[in-house]
Amino acid sequence: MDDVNIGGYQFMEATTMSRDRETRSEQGTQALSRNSAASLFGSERGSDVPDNTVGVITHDDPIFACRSVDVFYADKQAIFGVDLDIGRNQVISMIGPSGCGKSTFLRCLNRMNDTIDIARVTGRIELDGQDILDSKIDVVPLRARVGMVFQKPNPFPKSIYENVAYGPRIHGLARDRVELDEIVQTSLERAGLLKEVKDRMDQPGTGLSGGQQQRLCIARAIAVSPEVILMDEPCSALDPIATARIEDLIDELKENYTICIVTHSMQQAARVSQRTAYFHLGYLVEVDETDKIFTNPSHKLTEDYITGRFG
Amino acid sequence: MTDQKSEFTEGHIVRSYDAELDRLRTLLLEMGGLVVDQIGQAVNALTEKDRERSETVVRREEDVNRYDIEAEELVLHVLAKRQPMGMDLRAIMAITRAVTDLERCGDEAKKIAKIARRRLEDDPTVVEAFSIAADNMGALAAGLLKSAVEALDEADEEKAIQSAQADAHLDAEYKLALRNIHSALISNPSLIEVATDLVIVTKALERIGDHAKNIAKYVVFIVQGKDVRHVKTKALDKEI
Repeated sequence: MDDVNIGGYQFMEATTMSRDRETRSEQGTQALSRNSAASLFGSERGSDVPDNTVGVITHDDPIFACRSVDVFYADKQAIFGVDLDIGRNQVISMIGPSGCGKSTFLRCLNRMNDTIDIARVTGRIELDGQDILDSKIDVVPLRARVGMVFQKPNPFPKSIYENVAYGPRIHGLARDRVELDEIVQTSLERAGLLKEVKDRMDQPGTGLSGGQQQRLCIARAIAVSPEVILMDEPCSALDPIATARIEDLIDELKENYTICIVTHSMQQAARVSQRTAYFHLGYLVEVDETDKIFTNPSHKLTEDYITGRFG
Repeated sequence: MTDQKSEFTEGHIVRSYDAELDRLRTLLLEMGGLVVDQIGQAVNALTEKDRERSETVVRREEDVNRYDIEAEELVLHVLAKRQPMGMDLRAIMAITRAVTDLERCGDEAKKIAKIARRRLEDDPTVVEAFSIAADNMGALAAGLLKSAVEALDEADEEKAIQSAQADAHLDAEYKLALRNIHSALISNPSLIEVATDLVIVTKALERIGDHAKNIAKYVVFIVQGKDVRHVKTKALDKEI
């Protein structure tokens, strides 16, 4: 069987390989050869930050519409011109290496950056059409609409009941004790904690386990009937079981709330969110359906990050 | 075997992950080399009435299976340990499927080798009549498989599509061989036994072409994330 040429397609002496080549072993075969020069995988895609975010920044039913958002810490710019819609009753995750600006961006969404003196946010961030960066906006009701859960569970040094009741009380959401009780019960129920704490509501929240404390913080956020819950690495201080409980909870909560979650765990982002945004050096590099980001991202920086190639 | 690296096996922060993916890629190439050789040896055993070669092919089928098992174990290990994503995930999926196709090609080669063993005592003139068809198809099938596996290893879409489309030549040869077998049977019905075996051989080679085509299509999946397994081969150009 010599080389054959059919229809311009040159077939090599494949079937006589072992006779022509030096044999590897008794098997008499040799592995097919490699051609590293032909390994073009991904090399045609750029590895610089793109001029515009790759993917789909818009959403059909956005609760947040962010345009040209810049954040400065004194003279240093931390976020560069982020354009992003956040869909209603959806979970969106923000991923990226440390210092990429994902938490900074998250904190813009309920003006938590106001608590940092040197921080300055510009651009437009519309919550249901209203620009929340407007200086006339009162941040207290804003933060009731857009609640936040932090990395480290931070229950108040009060009873479990008081932790949840505090928000509704100061926002005047309950007319009487009966109503307040109901809000506390419902919030703890929704946070998946009621069964575990119903017999010790008067005990300190700080006495709960880490995972329970985090769910208590989620109950506390829910108690003021927010529309959006921001979660900044909510599971990074928790064990896998407590993490699974929170993830299960996020799945349930998205029926009623919009959730923005910053996470260092790509598996977590892949599991809980419908959309994923990848930040790099303060730029929003890519945002798209989570399935697409984790199986076939468009930008090389995203690909490098999710495959663990980020140097 | 060279130690040249590909972009889809290197560059991970965890270097042992690189090593695992590289091992998987090497397994594919080794297995591909063995299976391509199995096809050539099996066809030669038939056309040259070579008992030793047919025995070799049957014996080495176990090596093919061992590669299949080793690749499966490695993939399982990588999935559990690394939770691959993006192009790593696509490459692992594609290689897993390719290994399955290669294993089936190995089975086809073994089938041919067994027939070769059975046909050792035939009249040389009878065998010769079918040798040309088997030779042509064998070279085509092995060449297709070789180029498909190499295209997969190199993530070379153009090469892959070229090999997938070249399967049409093998199909044409198959139809031609069947017609020749029919004609031979009409003029000499006593050839029925050898003809039946030859139909099995040509069908086996035609199947190898189909497996090669599958492997070539996985390349599009690796590079673009598009599943083109059920896209008509003629229309593949439009996918890149």
